[in-house]
Amino acid sequence: MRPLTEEETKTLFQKLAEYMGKSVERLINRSDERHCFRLIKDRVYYVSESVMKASTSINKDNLLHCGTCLGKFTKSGKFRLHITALDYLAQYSKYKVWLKQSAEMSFLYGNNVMKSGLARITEATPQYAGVVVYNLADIPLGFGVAAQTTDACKELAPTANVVLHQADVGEFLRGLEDDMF
Amino acid sequence: MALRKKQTQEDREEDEVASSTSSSEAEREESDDDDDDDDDDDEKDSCSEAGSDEQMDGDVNLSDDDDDEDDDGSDDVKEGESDNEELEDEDSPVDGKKINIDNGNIHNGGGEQCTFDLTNLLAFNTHQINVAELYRAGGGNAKLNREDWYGTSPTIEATTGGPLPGVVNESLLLVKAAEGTTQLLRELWKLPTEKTDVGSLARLPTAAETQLPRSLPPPPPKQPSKWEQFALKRGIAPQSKRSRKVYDESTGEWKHLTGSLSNRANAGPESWPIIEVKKNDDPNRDPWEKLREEKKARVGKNTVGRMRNAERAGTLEKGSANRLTKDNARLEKQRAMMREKDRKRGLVAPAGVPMDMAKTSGGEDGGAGGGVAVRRGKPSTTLALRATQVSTASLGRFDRLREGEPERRGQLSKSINGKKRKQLDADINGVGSGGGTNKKFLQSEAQKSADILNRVMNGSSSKERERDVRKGKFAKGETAYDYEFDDGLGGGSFRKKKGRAGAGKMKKVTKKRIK
Repeated sequence: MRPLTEEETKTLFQKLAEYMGKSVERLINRSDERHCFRLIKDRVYYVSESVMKASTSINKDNLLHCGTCLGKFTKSGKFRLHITALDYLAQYSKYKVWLKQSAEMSFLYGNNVMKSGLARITEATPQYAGVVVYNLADIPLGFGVAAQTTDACKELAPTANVVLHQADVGEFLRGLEDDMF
Repeated sequence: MALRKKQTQEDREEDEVASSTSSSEAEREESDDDDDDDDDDDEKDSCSEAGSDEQMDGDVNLSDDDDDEDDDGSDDVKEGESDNEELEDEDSPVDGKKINIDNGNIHNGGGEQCTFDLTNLLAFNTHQINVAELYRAGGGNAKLNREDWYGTSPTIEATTGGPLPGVVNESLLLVKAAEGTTQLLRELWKLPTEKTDVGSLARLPTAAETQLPRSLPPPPPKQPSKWEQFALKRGIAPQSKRSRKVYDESTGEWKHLTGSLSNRANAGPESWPIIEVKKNDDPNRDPWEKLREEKKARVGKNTVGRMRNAERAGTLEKGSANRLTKDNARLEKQRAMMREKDRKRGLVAPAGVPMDMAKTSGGEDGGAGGGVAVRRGKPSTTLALRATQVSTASLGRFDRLREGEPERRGQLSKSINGKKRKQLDADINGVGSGGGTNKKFLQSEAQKSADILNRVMNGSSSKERERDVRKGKFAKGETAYDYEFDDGLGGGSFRKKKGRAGAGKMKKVTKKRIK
């Protein structure tokens, strides 16, 4: 377990900023307890200070996870967000998308969201912005990338992709990545 | 099967020939009974008897063959019977009518020339057989059924896989066998003879003399290399072979020509602990390094030359030698650039090497008279000072610092981009004395993160942003449905073919593609 280097922190923040914008600083400066980012074997964990201090007393080989796993760094240095980061993304997300009942299941199975399944979308969403997907009951289902800007979505065909799937809560059951959890 | 039958028939026929002639050939009988192949000797008649043999060839052979048919494969020597009756008797069972066996043709050996293996007394008739003639449909006397010929062996039935298309025309086979035998005997007569006490013997060729034909085509002739062409033209003989070990004068032992420096014969200056500086040499240049570089250059030249020879011969793809030289040149240029960079920074020589002996800028007389010595420069001096600071047994830890001396830093280390990864006060893993859990550290960490975030949010300078976009740190459509999808694994620049062909078809730039 080690703290992130400057480059890694920069990459992480860039990724988070796509979804949360300025709210990333709220992750860093929290009112209740200071949290920090730690790396365990290429995975980035968001842990509170006390938990982190406690985990230092555990043997390195035996420590699997601590805190919340935000994602991991790939071999080429890119950062991938995992579904486990949904809690924080949903809290501070800038751009949101609400799905109709009919499209919910499709998204939970890993498909992209079509225009026909779109119920609501926040205004002025830029193209390829990070977007958190909710259902009509305001439950976060996952996150993705906006395929089009909000205005362009209006002129789309009903079968065109509006949100490109990145992660959804169905992955907990599907277990896509073998070493995800 | 047919071959073996021929051979046995031939053998039997020889037996028959022996037996049918007069009693004076009793000795021949004995010898011919011996069917061993590793006999170098084969007994033959004296000339007169040979003559009589040939005379009888035409008729006698046939009758004897017919005799063999009757025998059904028995090896007993049989008394030859008179010809014509036999002929007629044997014809009828095969076809029911008289066979027209062309005596004259067989006597001449037949139209189809056979190949011979005289060591094993074999004649091979490899010409194609007329299948229509071979299997003359219908006919077939009960006497001459397959069972008579082959016996009731189940394997033969199995291999033939059912009934043959008609009955085999045995007379045709007989004719072929007879022709082959005649040819074989003719060849045997051609062999060299030697006179022994037993009579004149024909010497069969040994196994070494019989040449098997090539199964594969011979290899193509090798293209001579550049040197070989030159040597041929000039008439230079190829070098005699070197002995494995050579006498090494310095140690007085016999050593190999190759091997490590200590084990090599006549190793040369590279193995000497002291090398004198000659008149034209640069005293600051490491002579062993120089020798190593020269050797590398020679080796490179040799490899390129070999590659060119191979290209000329066609074993290597053309252009690979040029590619190799270009690559090497490029790498050399890069190294030279790095050296230039270092030189500009003032690091002409390694930090610890004294500069007093460097070439002076002007005097040819060794600088004693007038030339100005090359100055070290500030960066080189500071590096040298840093190096000397830690050049004691305790790495400078207990040395008192002089006035104005910079802080002792520690050993010179190689760094990437001149930057060293900043270590925390303790172990970077956060284990041990505080480290990642240090209060101070955490505070500073929060501060640093905030700084980084600021930089990220407030759009780092356009140059940095461009660089990050190029690196792919900003989201594009990150799925496989987006054409610019990059899974980060690289390998996207694979080109199956070289040059313009590898670029692939030019696709028309449409609105869809522009996105």
